[in-house]
Amino acid sequence: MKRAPVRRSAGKALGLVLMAVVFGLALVLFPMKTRAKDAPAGKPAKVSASASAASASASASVSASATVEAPAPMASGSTAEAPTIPMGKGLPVAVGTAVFFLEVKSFDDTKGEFECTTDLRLRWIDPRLAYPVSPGHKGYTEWRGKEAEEKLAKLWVPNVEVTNRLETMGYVGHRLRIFSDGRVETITRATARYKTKVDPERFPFDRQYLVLDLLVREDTTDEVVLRVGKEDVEWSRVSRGAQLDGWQLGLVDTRREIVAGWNGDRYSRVVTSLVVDRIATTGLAPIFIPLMASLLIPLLVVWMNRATEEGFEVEAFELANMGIGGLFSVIALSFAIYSAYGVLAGSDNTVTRLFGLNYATLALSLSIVVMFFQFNLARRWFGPYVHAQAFKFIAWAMPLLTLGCAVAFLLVAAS
Amino acid sequence: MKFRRRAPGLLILSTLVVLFSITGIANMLTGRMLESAKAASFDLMRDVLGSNIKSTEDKALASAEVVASMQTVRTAFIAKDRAKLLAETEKMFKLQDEKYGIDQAMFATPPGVAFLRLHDPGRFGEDLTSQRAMLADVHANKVLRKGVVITKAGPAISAIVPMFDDAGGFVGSFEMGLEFEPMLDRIKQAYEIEAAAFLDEKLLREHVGDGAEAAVITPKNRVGRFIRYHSTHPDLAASLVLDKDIEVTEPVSYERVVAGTTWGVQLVPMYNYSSKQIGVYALAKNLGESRSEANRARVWMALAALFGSVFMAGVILVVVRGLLVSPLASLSARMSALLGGDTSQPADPMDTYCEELQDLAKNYEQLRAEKSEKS
Repeated sequence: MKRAPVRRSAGKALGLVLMAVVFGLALVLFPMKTRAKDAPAGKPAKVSASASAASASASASVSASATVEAPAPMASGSTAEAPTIPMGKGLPVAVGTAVFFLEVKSFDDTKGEFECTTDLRLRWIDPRLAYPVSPGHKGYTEWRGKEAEEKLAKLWVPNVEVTNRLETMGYVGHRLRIFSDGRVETITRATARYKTKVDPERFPFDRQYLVLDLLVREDTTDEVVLRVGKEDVEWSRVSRGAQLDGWQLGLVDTRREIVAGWNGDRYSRVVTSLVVDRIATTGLAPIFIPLMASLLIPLLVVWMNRATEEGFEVEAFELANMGIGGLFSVIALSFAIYSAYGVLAGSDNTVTRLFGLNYATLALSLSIVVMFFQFNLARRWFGPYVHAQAFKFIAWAMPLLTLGCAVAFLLVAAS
Repeated sequence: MKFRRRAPGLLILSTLVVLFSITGIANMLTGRMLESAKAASFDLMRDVLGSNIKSTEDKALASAEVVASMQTVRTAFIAKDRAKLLAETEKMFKLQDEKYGIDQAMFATPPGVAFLRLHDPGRFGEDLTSQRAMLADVHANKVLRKGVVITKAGPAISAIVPMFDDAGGFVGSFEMGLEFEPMLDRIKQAYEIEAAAFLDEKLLREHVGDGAEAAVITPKNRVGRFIRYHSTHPDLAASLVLDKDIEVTEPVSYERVVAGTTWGVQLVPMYNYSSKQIGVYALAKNLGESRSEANRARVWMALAALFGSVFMAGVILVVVRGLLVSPLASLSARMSALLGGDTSQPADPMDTYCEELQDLAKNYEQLRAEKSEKS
């Protein structure tokens, strides 16, 4: 009994130190608002030499619509008649669609937005544009930049919209080729910001898809269909030099879909997605170490005490204080993490599960404080021997189960 | 033997054995379900491929039958008027080629001589009976045939129908061949199964020569002795089907992890009309999600087993030690002290002990009182 005051002060000191560490970690790792403001821009990905060169080689800058990838099918007043859909090959007109991811500048998984530079290639046949070639002709005529835009304004162009694009930034480059047999090929290079759905369930081992959702507007599948042919599939990929901080770039996948419209109309759609895998270690220090550290608080509430013949060595009040302190630590930590990683707050994922575990363990430890330490219920109901054995059991079972749950949550995310 | 250790130890061990056996069996069942789902996926892939090949063959056959039965076409062919035949069919073929992937069409006269290739009108007159077994068969037996062929225009799923004059005399045949590409794309679109066609490089070189189709014969597309002719996802196909995998003579399935995703790959040999293997179809389905689900189920089962084990161990320890062993040990220690003459240690309150021990405690108290009185 003489050692009790020493144990109490040690318990207090350890509890305070632990809470200070968790608070400190939370404040250092999550400076409020800073990340939330900085994140959207993100750290620019390294630009490959080819990307820079390609950008530099493009001709004069032009303004472009923020929502329409392909140039407008017609410029009002530029021609006497509106360009009409090519009927020479019958309908629907098949438009080969391919997307090349030149550079992925940033991905803000909190907002579900990414910024990248892409080349969108559309190919179709307009027999009205076929022309005879003289010997030595390379087989196609090419226009770039402003000239391409002007030429495209006079042609029929499929009205393909990138539906998930938020805004186009800066220069939009065009290249147009018309082949002697009437084949038309346009390539549009644009740097833009896109919206994409983020599923953080398996955070920090999650995989996300940077999607370009291409949809034919106005023309139904009876008139225009998007196709993904052999050459389109081979063209759709990510630049070898492309990088994205905190993410591993994967393969590009393209699939065709049909979108239902009014009165049974159907519209052609192509979804091109770049797979990105999160580098799991990036979330380790800022999120998982504080979360695991905060799990120790409720365990300490139990460990700091000791069963005696009369009851317990440390008073319930002191340990309840420690538990309440731990509760505030976890609330502060959750506030810090959810502010910085908003996407984690609104879904079921590893982080929310670990927070749930933290709260559950705190609730359990406070229940133990109240029932065992304060009211001595086990001793009152079952006597000193059951009381002592039950406390011993709780002392090792609680950390074991807590650790088991934490490991299980991580394994579930990793599997 | 110490009951304090042995008894709870034995009970806990028995509980653990039971719990972990149940978990193990559940885990095994999950594994079997996964295997069964995988096997069903591979079966589905084969069935999808088989039905698509058949429907493509039927499509080629139906198109060939329609063209061969057109009166103006028959008249021109019976009259051996190549120019008129071309004029009648050229536009039709270009449209079919552009929109439906029909990239080969040929009229042939007995015993198998190319009369007019709609995909290459400038080339005709050669006897193909030695190179084209299916064509020779149609001309010999005057029946329709269908199957996979490799011609100068490349590989195709082809159908040949015999053509007769008004008197019923055999005048030749008409063939239509469909590209692989639309068929494989359809498989991907409808079933989310990635598909690829690999063709024997030697046969491909023999047939296509230095034509446009030869462009596909590159080191990048070479896999063993085969050339990846078409794929719905070239990068994925390059990682899923390697030199060591491609040499198959019967359907083979395996799993491979690419970029963190597990893919189930089904290789099916491709045979031509003469039942000679000319290539391999490769189909791949993402099995990552079902595998992840199974692994997650295993983790949850293990966690449930841990909870069960800990709870049972707790109950055993508290009951055996708290209700029986510790009170008994306490009474035993008091009894020893009493035998040594120490009468100062009373038993705990009676409600501390279970009913079976209360008699013992009462006896101890009686002995202690007697000894106190004597002393």
